[in-house]
Amino acid sequence: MADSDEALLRRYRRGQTEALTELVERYKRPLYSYILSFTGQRSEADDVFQEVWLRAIRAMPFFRRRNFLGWLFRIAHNLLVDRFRRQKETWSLEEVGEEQTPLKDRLKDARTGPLEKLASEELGERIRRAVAALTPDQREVFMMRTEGGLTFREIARIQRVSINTALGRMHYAVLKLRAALREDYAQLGWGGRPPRGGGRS
Amino acid sequence: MRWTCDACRRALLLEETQELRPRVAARLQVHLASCPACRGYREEWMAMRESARRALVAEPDRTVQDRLLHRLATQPAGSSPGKPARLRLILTAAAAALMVAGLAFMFRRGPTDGVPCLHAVLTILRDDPVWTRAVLEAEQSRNREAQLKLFARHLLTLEGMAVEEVPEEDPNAGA
Repeated sequence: MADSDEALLRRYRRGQTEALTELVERYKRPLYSYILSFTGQRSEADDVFQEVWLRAIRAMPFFRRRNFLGWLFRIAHNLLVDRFRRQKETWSLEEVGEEQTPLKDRLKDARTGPLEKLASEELGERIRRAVAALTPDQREVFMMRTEGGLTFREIARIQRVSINTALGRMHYAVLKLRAALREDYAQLGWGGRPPRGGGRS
Repeated sequence: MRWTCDACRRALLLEETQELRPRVAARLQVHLASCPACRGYREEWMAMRESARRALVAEPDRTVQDRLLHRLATQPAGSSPGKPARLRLILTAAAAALMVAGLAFMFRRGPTDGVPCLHAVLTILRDDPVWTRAVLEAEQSRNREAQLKLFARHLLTLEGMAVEEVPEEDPNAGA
């Protein structure tokens, strides 16, 4: 059975650096996916990813959360906010960065690893574009929830909002994605059933 | 009172994370049993979530990981913070001590003198409705110790030295 995060952290504190390798391996995908969904470029995501871990290790004496991944997300969130502030960029998807390319288009080519190729390329691309078109707050909640598996209470703490606000952001994100992916329902295995509107509400 | 489908669909999200109260969860099941639209919505959402998870997953290149692990290996856990970090810690601790001492002094002047000051300071430090409400609640309780703890925790949270505890809020209120 795999060691718990706490056990790995204890081992690392005792000087067993291979425990850290296991932690990085365990959380690299959700963390990197989240970061990449905001930077849109691998080079930038690589920097932030490394910085998150370095900060986490430096701040290890202060760590007393139960959820280690939640803590990593929080560090990443703060780093990304700082970074965007420094660059004086809004998190707008239409905003053009240094490459003169909007985030929506930069995201298109960002995921080229072997794992990503397993997903249907065309559908995957439409999903990525639909997620990239969410507002930054909605996208963040969506990524933390779907990739990181964080609870709404944890997400609310990171975003410093109420649980209901975090829940509302997720709810609207889902509604937007359903609308954006309407034509892909058959391919997604939903039997070609069109999304229903507001139901009886 | 009959639930709307919108409330049901929000509750479905909370159900996934097991953050739904049992009473609300039971209500959700009742609604789902009588609403094919919401049952369909749940199926669609589960399928979409899986597709999105697969489409959005990414991982760093091996070289990036190797470089990171090499850097981490040379940095022992709990190593003493570097100069800037240490200086910041000292300054933060000094500022916190001064603020707490100042507040304690103000509290000694009278039963209510310090309370508006505390509220004003917290509101200026972070204009967050959640925290403001917590301070208002503390004011109502007139529990000075709780107020001081809240303030000290807030300062430490700003520097990332403590876990921020978001005041309890009803997660099921919107559902």
